Amino acid sequence: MSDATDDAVIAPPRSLAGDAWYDLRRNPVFWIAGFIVLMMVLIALFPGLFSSIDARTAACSLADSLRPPGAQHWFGFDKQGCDVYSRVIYGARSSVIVGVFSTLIAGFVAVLVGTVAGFYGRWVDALLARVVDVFLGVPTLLGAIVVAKALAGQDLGIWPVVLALGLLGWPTPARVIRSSVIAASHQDYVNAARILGAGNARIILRHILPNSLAPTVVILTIMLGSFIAVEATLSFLGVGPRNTVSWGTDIAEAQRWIREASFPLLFPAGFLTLTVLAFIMLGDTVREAFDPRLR
Amino acid sequence: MSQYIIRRLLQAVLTFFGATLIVYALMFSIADDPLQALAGERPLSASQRAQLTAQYHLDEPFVVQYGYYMKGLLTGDMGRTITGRPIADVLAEAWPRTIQLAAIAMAIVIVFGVIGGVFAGLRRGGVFDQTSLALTLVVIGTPVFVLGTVFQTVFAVELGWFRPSFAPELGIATYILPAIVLGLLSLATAMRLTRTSVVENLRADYVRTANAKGLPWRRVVSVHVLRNSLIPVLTFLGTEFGALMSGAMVTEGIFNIPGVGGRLFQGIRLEDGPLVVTIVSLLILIYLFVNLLVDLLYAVLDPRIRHE
Amino acid sequence: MTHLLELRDLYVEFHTRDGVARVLNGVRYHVDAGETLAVLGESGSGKSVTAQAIMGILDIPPAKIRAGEILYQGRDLLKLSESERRAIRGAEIAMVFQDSLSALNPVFPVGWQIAEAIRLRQGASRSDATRRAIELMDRVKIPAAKSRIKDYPHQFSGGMRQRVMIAMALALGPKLLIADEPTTALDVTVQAQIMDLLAELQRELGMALILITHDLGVVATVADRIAVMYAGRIVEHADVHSLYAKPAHPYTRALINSIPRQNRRGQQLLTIEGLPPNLTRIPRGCPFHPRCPYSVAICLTDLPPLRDLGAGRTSACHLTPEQLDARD
Repeated sequence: MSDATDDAVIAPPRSLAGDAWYDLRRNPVFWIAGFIVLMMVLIALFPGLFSSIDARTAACSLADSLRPPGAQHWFGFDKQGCDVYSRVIYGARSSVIVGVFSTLIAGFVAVLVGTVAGFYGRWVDALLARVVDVFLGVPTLLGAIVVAKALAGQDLGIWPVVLALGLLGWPTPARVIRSSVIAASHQDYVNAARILGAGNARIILRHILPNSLAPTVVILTIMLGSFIAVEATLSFLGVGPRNTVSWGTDIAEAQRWIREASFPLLFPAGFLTLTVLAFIMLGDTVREAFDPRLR
Repeated sequence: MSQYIIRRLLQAVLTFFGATLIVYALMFSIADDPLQALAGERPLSASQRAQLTAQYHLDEPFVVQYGYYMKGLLTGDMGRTITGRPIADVLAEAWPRTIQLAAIAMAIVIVFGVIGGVFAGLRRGGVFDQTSLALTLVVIGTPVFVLGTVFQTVFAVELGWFRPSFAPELGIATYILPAIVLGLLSLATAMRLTRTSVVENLRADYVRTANAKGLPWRRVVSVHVLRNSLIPVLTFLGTEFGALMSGAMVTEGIFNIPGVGGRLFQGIRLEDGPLVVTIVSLLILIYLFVNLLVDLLYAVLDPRIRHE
Repeated sequence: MTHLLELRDLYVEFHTRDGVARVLNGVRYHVDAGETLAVLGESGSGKSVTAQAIMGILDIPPAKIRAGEILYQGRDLLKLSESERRAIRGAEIAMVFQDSLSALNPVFPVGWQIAEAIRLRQGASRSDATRRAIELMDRVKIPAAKSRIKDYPHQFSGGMRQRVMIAMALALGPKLLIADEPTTALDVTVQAQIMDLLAELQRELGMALILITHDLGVVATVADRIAVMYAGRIVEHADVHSLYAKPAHPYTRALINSIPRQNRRGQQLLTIEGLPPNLTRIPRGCPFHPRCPYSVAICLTDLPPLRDLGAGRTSACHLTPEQLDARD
């Protein structure tokens, strides 16, 4: 008689996640970006591993001012006579840590607001949408400057910037999360869970959030990259964290002496650009892999 | 349709007051000593304190202070800088420069960004597409101030094609290099957005229908595809104009252009609190107004929105 | 005799990431002026691809026409230049698609879209073309047509939109209309209305109609002949009465048996076991054999030829209808 389950004939089912991973694995950009991100995080967490000189306490001698790169000091010296390599390594801390913490704050608020707005809908959604509008009305860079300026007198280190970015950055991902929560809420498995007696909290935690996770992670990764850029811009403008080694301040300083030497500008600028790009590319490749419309 | 307009108008008004309230609150309430925050690191004499207190009504409840501030802003009384110069005068001088800069930047974005994006989308996977994707990515990832300083170094200092700083004697030509720097990020984003929109629309079912009607491919693209693809692009461009005004700050700072952004940059450097807050509030106002116009534009372009 | 449209041994493949999918494997059918051919098959059987190949709107690549001929009034369309094909497309052979919401351009008014082909290809003035568009909308029975020409697709209900699509297809007076699943997205009552409309238009205009569907019920009242497709080939071809009364191919039999019927109320619904084949790995022999209750040894090794059963009936099965009956 007939053979109804012939394996050679029926192809194995493929999930979106499976397809996405298949594409990602083969995408060299994903691996390169991921590697760079990992490296930067390591540099930020363990600068001592990468540089024998601690840039925060190093003595700078004007005698070394603008000495070009050499065997002992790979990136040369800046105008003040400080070793550029160690400043670049220690500068990563400021940027990456600010990026990570501000993303965590913004992400947390965004998930909270986005989920509540998307799940409960109607007037709750309308109200939160107005709040989102208001926060979006404040351009990120300007708002961050104002906050940083307002807190400038007090020596609070990186926290004013982290707070500013977290406060101003949450609306955009909140919108994205809200959309995916709305989409997930309409799925049949949510109705099924409700019929089985699941309460709202359980439905949100078990069903909605895991399924809205992918676009959330993507947009937060990209946001991290842009926050690093904003932090550097703030430092460049002179309103960044005080008394901290930062790529932005180094670039600002190096710009003033650009006619005498360009390498003190190019090294921190290169590292900054590479880091920002790496985060953005990582998020971008993951998003493209998960987007069924681009198949 | 008119319901939509009224609704958006109300939202915009609400948002404006909300956003400026936040800026005001940040500026004056977070700091322990708001007066000191306004003056930056310069120590204040007793008479300066008295003057600032009176000017900003700091001995009255917060909401009242905000009310005074708003009234002043909306009636044109923008107060004075820390050095006593009327802010309105400062802005009147600075504004035309920023407008010229932003206008040229916008033209660059449209001509190269949108048109480039259409080509990239039509010849997806081709040489132009791939190189532009790579280049735009680098531009998006590089912070504006890095791009600005590098461009200034390469094109003005090393190659000497442009002057490195603002040179009013050159007339409008002095804005070209800064406009390129300012517009680059928007150009990159506009190009990618246009490309994606074109690619998506090329695969839409209505393209198949248009082909089935026997229409020439050129018409299918230039009329059917483009009309749909450009909707998100145009609305994006609208909001970008507002962003260009804010982004001008760093660019004007690097090239020493005394426009609105340049004054803001200087204000930050010199720690001139009143100037900073006022300019930021005005920029927010412009940004919201432009967003409102863009939303209306969107309703005009996409008939599906009109009937919600 | 020269048919209005005749497909001969059409072979089309798709080059995908998983390999080469053999989507059409020797399709042959024909239709003449004034008659309705229904092409019946499940998703993946190749019925839509055939229609797109006729129209010349297949995406090439990834599609590739490997062999065969598409004869329109005796001329092989596949040998024509693109501009010659375009002259035929829309004007002689027109097509109506399934999902009218996505098939119509959302940003242009309906009247404009119907009139577009008339303006551009017949050189009519804007007012003449608009007048024609209103006439067409009346023809397809859209109420208050004149007041609705400036409306947008999303302002119409599904059934009305489908009528708009039909009006658009008829704009240039084609001799052949291909309707690809025109009613699948609609409710049952609306389905019947659209089917009646198509039948009426066909009679009035003397057009040929190729109706592509997977729904046996829809086809019964409208079609003259039915071609059943499976895995990219025609497995049975018969006039509508004979097909329903005495289906010859096992697949057709199973399809007809699976229609829920009043007189079988309370019994289990009949289905066809298994799934259609993966087109990148079509099994040897008859592609239906894994699911066929009648398969014998030869079915696993040899592709069945299209057997002529007389009176214009054909069936691609190694066993004759009598032999199938005997095994029931």
